[in-house]
Amino acid sequence: MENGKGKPTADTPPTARPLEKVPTRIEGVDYVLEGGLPKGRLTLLYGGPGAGKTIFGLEFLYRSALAGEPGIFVAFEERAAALRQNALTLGWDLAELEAQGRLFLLEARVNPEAVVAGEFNLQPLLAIIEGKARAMGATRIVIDAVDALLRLYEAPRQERRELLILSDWLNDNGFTSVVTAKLITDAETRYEFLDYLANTVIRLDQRVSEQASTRRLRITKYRGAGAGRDEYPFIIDRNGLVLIPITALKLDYQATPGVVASGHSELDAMLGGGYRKGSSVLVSGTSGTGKSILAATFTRAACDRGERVLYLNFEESVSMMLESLLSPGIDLRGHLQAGRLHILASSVEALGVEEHLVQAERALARFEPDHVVLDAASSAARLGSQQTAYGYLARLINRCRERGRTLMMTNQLAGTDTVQVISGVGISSLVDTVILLRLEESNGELNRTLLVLKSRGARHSNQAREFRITDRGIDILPPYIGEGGMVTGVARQQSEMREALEYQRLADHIRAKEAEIAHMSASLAAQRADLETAIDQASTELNAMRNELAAKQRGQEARREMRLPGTREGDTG
Amino acid sequence: MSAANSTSQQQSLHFQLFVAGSEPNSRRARDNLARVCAGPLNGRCTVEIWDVFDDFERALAHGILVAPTLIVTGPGQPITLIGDLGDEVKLTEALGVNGQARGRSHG
Repeated sequence: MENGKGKPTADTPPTARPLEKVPTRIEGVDYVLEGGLPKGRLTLLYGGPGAGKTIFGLEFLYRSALAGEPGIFVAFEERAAALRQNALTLGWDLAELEAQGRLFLLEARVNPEAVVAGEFNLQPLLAIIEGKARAMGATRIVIDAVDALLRLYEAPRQERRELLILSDWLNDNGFTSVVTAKLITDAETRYEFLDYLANTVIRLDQRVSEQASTRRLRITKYRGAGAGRDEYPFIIDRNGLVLIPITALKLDYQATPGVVASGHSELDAMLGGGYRKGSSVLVSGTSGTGKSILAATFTRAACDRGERVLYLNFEESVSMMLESLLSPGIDLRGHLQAGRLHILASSVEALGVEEHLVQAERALARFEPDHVVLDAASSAARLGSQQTAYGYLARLINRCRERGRTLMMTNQLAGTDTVQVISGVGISSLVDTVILLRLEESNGELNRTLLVLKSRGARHSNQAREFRITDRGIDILPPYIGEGGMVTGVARQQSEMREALEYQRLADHIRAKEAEIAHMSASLAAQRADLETAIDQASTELNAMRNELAAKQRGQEARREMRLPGTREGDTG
Repeated sequence: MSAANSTSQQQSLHFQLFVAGSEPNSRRARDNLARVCAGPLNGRCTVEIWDVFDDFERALAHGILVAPTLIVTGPGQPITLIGDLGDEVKLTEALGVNGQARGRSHG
């Protein structure tokens, strides 16, 4: 080993060098693998039936081949024709790549009728792979369903020996390989040693929860390199496998300097200049308070400046949305046609959460908007569990933040919700700015108010301001109480009146709440009385039924005695 | 499974043996096959031996993944045997020699 003065010899193991990686080119996967699969090493891919192992392997080779890197797919279970057919449904033309010598499908099904008469090994398979690899210049090998091959062997010891030979051979030849194995209940311990042989171990699984099936990918081992340790959801859509990486939420992110005008100068003033660029804004309010109109106001202003806005609409179709915005005087049709506005409208229930995410991600990547509007974030609760909704929103917030995109979300409050709750999904800590819209009826008058509850990193007004929806968009009325400033004359009188009114309104609210509680107490007492009556009635019915049953039993006995005299001797009572 | 019994012993069998160089299983398979040809078959056989290291394309064309593999053609459908042919009972049973039927008949 000591050869010269510290100069590495040719056979020095390359431990000091960082592991080279080979991109899979599968959407999202390389991000999680921090570059891709280990170059020249073996990756083990586990998963139950239908977990997506074959597609993963095939997509790796397909995308590599498209990029000019040939590969060999060894199929122990599926027929090549079936693979080609399945690939076509994903839009992958394998036959073309095969004809170009960039992909080779090796159908490696051992004749099931073969008679086993003695010991054997896998040398021909290896010879074929090696010969083909040399001819094609292939360095990527996928061995799909290695467990099917192992079924040939009767003894586990032999099975292990062959796998050891196979993995050594793949490594010795410097192939970047993916070996897939079905994970059946006992397989985990059965193939435990494979984990040890593999440089990298990836597990795929498919679960059904809340009537929706979700697929997950987890990297359980990555020797000598970093990789994400989370469970990542993925989907198989019409273009193949798509992994959804959950980036660590960086709450201490560097706020993008600069502000973005909200579309209304008064609101800008309240916000301390406008929305922070790249921040996330939550517009909360009950139904009909004007949340979408505020979002559309922002959208129009941005598009007017020539910026690009992606509008994700969970609530209504594109045409409905455009039309309903016409009455408050917001016409977005021109911007839509000019390509500054892109609307993605789909109902929450139409797709699974992963599809929604992927759809949004694709739109983000393709359209590259400056700002994103999500109408309504509260609808995300219908995506599934609270966790699902949280995941979706956190992901979207993070995605926008990473790229300095302003995200505006509307949030429909149910009557009893506190203002920062998104229908049970607590993302308020992730949100920079919260605007609360209220619609209040008092003294026979409907008043809309707008309040900036929170605006991270900006001095903002703490006043609730009255605003109106006119046929020329929103209009925020001048303040009636000057903050720190002097208010004189009529304005002062007005402000005092309004202040008195405000007290009055609060007192009204307290009285109303007291009445509500009194009513509820009364209702409780009434319900209790009702229930007691119902219990009494049910008890009476029960007694009647018991009496009826007893009477019937007596009648039956009497009839039996009449039919069968003498059989009940001694019972003459 | 009924007809081939007597006829198969009269007709000649053709063997294609795929080996992997001179590794032990392959060596034993050659020896065991030669013994069967000389013994129970009484020379009524022809033998081709292919080394997968020399001609992987042929192995590919025949779907040979493991070695040694023996493909037997003669009367009836071809039979595939894998292993070093050290299991004499299975071998003679499959070939239908020593009064045993071949593993498969036509029809």
